[in-house]
Amino acid sequence: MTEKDNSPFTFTPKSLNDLLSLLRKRKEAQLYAGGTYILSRQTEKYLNLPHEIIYLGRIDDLKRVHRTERYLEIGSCVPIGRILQIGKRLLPASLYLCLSAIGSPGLRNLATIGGNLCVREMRMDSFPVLHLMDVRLELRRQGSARWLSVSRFLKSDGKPAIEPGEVLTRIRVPLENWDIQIYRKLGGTYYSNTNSLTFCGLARIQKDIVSDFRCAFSRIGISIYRNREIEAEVNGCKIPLQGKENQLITQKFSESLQEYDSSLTRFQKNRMLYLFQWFLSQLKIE
Amino acid sequence: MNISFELNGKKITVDSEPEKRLVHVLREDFGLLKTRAGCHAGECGACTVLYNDMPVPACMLPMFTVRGLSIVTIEGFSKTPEYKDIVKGFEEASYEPCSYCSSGKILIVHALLEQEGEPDDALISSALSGISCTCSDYRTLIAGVKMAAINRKRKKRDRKR
Repeated sequence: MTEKDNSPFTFTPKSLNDLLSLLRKRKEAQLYAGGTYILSRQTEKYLNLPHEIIYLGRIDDLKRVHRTERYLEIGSCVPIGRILQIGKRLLPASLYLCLSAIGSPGLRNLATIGGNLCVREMRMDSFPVLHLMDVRLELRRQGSARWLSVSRFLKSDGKPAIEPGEVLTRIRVPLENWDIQIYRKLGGTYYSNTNSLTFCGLARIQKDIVSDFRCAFSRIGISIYRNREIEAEVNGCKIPLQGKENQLITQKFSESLQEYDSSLTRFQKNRMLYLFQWFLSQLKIE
Repeated sequence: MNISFELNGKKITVDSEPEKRLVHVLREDFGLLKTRAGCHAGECGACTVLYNDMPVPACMLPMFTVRGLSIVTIEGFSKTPEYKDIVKGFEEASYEPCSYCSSGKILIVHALLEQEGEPDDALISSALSGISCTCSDYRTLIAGVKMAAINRKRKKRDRKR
């Protein structure tokens, strides 16, 4: 048998029950889904892996996709490439754009949406989109399950609010109609991370009035920036926004950025401001 | 650790460290040198293999993840009629990929044609965006893929008759 002294112990449960039972016994084991984050930034032939690994790739229960009229339920270990195969017409546009911007096509056939959400350095891709869409997450442990809004998924230190013995199993995306869906990703999770940025904007327009306006930013280490006061300012406005109205809202947004994070560089603030202004300019009669 | 999987249609067992990258096992243990070790980050496409019919970078697969699954390299795929569709399509469009990227491109094109019988330019560009080699003209590549799609469609139609 060929094994080095530091070869990991790998467990490969075949069912969700096996996994939950294993999680209770092997508290220190690292969960491994697509592995794209664990393997990133390693260049050696032999990978430097945690001592104990629980490989999730064989659990069919975590790889199901289920669609109803109201929502789309995605297993946490569904590869992103497979989610994209559902198609542009069935996936919400902002989610499709977000997932299409993650890695290369080959990597997307390995990376999972659960991993993208749970790993802090990767979270800037999908978290703002899922946050704005009021996505709910299922967390299961042996003997119990709970659903949690994605807005409550992170603790104040940025770590996922997953209790010992729990695992993220499903992601429920509401299928709602949005008149405008925008997603932009600048830079990436692998680049010098202080300047990477993602932006997501959603809006509903009814009779030329903005009825629901949402926007959020994310960058590495800062999972979400979303200002509901600014969103409330835009809600109820007639489109297209008038010059003074636009200016006032933009100014309030700019001031809020100052208060939000004093470590933001001028470059980052300007980018966030331009993206916000651009989103406002998209609120127009078709 | 003994790891059994299907390689190019044959069930095999290899004695390998679980943390070794598949790309190196393919090259060193099986002599399949057309799967090239490039960036080790899954971004260049040079080590693309079909992993349960999905094109993935073999550098991002530690051996413990391949147990029980099917891996097809370009050496195995080149023995199939589907390979000939693609190569003929490339020839008809005068597209000649270099030896560094041809394996990855052919496998990705095969997976694309299996999923979308007649892909448009945008879909082709997107599918091949993971290959960083710029050895030749992209428009010729797209034309080559479309010719391959026509060849494949024609063959399927002939088989039905």
